[in-house]
Amino acid sequence: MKNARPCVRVASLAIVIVAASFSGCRKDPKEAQWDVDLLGPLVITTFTLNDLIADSLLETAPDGSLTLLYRSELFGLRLDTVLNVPDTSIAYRYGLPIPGPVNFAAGTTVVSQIGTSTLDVDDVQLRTLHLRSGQLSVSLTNMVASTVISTFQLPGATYLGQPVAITQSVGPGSPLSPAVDQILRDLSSHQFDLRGPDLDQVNALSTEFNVQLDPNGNGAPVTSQDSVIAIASYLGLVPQYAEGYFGQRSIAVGPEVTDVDVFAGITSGVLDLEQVTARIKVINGIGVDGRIRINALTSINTSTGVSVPLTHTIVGDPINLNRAQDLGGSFQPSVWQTTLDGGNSNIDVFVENLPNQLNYEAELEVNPLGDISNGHDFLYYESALSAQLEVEIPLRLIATDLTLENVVRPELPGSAEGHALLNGDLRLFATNGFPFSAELRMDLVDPDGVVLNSIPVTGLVEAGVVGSNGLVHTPILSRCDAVLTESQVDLLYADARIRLRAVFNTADQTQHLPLLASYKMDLQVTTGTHYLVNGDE
Amino acid sequence: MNSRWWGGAALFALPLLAAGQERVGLFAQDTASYCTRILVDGAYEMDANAVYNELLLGLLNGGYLDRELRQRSSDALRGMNRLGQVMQLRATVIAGDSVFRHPGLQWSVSASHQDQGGMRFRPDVYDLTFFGNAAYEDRTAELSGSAYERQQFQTIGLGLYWARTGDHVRLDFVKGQSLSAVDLDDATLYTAPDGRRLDVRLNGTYWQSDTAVNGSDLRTFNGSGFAVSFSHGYILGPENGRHVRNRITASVEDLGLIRWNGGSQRLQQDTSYSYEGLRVDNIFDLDGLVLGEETAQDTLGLHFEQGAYWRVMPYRAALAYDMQWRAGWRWAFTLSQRYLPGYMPLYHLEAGKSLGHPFIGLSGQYGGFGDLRAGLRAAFQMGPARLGLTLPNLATAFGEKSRGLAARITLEACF
Repeated sequence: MKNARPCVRVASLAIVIVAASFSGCRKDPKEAQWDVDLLGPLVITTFTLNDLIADSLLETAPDGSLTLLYRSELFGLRLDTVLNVPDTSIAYRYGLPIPGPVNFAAGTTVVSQIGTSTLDVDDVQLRTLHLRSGQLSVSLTNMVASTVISTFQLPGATYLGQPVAITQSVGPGSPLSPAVDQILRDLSSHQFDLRGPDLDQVNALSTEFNVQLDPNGNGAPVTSQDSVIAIASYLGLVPQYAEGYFGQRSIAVGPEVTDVDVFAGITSGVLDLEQVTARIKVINGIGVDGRIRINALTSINTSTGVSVPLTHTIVGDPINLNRAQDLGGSFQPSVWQTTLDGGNSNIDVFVENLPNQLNYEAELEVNPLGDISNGHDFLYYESALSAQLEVEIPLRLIATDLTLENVVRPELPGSAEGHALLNGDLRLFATNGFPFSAELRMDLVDPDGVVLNSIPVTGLVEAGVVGSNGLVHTPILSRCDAVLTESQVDLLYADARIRLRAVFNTADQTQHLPLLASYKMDLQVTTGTHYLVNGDE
Repeated sequence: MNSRWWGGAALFALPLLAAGQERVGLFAQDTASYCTRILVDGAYEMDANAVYNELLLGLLNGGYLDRELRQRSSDALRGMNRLGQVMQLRATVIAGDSVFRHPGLQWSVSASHQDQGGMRFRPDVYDLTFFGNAAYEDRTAELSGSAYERQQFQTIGLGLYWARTGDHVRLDFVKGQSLSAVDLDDATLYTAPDGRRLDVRLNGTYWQSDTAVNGSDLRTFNGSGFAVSFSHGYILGPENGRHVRNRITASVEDLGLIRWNGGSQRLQQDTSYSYEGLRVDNIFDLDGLVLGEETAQDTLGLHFEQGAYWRVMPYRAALAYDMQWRAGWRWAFTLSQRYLPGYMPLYHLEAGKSLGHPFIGLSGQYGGFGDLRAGLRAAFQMGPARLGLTLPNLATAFGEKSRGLAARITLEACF
């Protein structure tokens, strides 16, 4: 090739130009941004009472009227309260009573102990115990210079109708270096007769413990220092069935608070119900007689701070409970029940307090008359003594400034540092078929509920048109508007939430209006948004 | 229609690079026969028939585009608008005295990086994109007939070059870097009063190369293909006393296909949809309500098909007639077309004179992505090297209401 030097020069220049051009291509400038005004629908939904109250709590009559059925367990005493079988360990020790040594031949039985141990169950005298679960651990320590074979028998226990025995072998040991072995046995479905060998005791665990030197071994010289120790531990015993005398004792219930979620979200206002009926049921699934005294039952509204104690003869008076009936493998609980209404109690005021909590305190006496069953009290794993409250509220009501609150945190694209959403407005279109109006209030709150800013809402969701029969015959379309400023949008991105409050008032404040299952409110939220294209970071 | 459309469209699309460029190199064939040649050719062109440079440059450079700037381009829109941008960078080596025992037939090796895009759009596409749909309350935006395509790819190829005539042919392997394209056959958007309903009529297709990898990275390998380029001239008559050349040339650049890989997406939609908002079951359970691109796609039923497909490259075909006089004068007329949306046939006329080694020419053109443009071309020789500079758009490239920017630099050495 001619002109080699210029060729190199030009090639170098070309490479520089190419490299410069490509490095220019790699530049990735920040994307251009511009603001646009967007208008469109955001959310559409239909509101029914099922959005407020679960289907399972509403009962619809043939005429479409609704009744709220609320059930709640006030308290329940279960197995762990009535009978608790603690872990129990029993030790068996054998040592030669003389200094020795004494030569024992192979196959010699060196230990043979029959004994009875006691289950530590306070106040309860058990005769029979069927276990649902639990374990028996037998730990054997051998200091004799021969393999030993131990047999641990439970004369009062059966498993699937067969006697229970545990055999284990432990190698030779010495006082300085004992041989140890442990065996675990699952006690599920094991049945224990706790009456002892002569069937005249209670809580008695009969055992028989034998140790012999290995018949195939050479025997061993045994001194007083050589011992065999067995430790039997009953662990995690859970009864499936227990029979005996459960003692005469008192069990305090509460004071305790239980949550009520049926009025969740209602923060203030007055709800006037035409009729309220309640039932209190005490169900005794345990084979003991009982006497319960409900000392207090109070409706608590933590939002308003108002507490309403229930007034009825049930409060303060003793209730005698019959024992459950043992059907041999299952049981028939006894049920005690009383009805509360506006005539015999203040249950309407109790409910209209819109409680979100119930406070109760009670006292249960077990076997108030002593061992009248002659040791045949019983319980099953499923047995319980519980008190239940059932409230039946036909939804005919007058709502006055009844305020429902909900806090939402929409997931917005972008971040606090950069977001495309600048400001905008929300427009609510409601076609209301309910007999109540709704005034909307919006606030921005922090995670603790402290108000950071308010979003003014103009307009009112008007109530549907109510006829002379108290029923809505024409839904009404209304519109509400809310404007979110740029600073309010910034707050939303800074971990604020939207607290939405709807204040309901029934159209007629002089008569109770029924709520029908067919009532609904069609809702649509649209938005006009000032949006920064490529503004999300 | 998002900013990628516009950024992409503005990013690459164009060259209408001048008559006389249908053939490889700057040297006249009678002086350059049999030499080894190294060429580096860089071309950038951006043009539009309505939208002003200030908007396109704003999209390219980033930053905030104020409303007045956007409005100026909006006011200039026509019934159907076009814009595009093309960037091409190519290095070529031509060497050898003969190939296949044909004296004067040389081999060539060539590599290029190309980024080409173009779009045609109705005014409503622009206004929806840059101002939003609020102004369309109770109105229908007409988007039909709009289309956009951008392809980024690299080529490497081998070819043959006939030194005496300047004819050449080249076969390239193509590495696909990224593709995005939209073709709206029929599309409208109606915004109901208060935004209570959006009625969408959509019959269109969308293509997108694998989005799981960074499409702007030159190393990205999203597809592969082959392309052919050639140029062949016909001498229309023997030299006479005045003419040294009287020739018509047909050429094609990058006629080929790329098979975009299995991660590519395609969406073909022919639907009408009335959107009234995201349906929620319970107005009291809005926690976690996600208002984003994916939610909107799900709601509108825009589900992309994933899989490989072939797509034609943005090739360019041209027919040129050029005549050169013994006194150094030269004129050329070129008719060319590029396979990109928004590109219309480009008519280019150039006249110039060789002043010894330098060449100076003036040009005028109409079509492509833009309208009427005027510019110049110059070439200079420095020893064994020549530098060519083409500026086809000088008349309308400057000022607030400028449209189009284009430049081509060719560096060539002959040893």
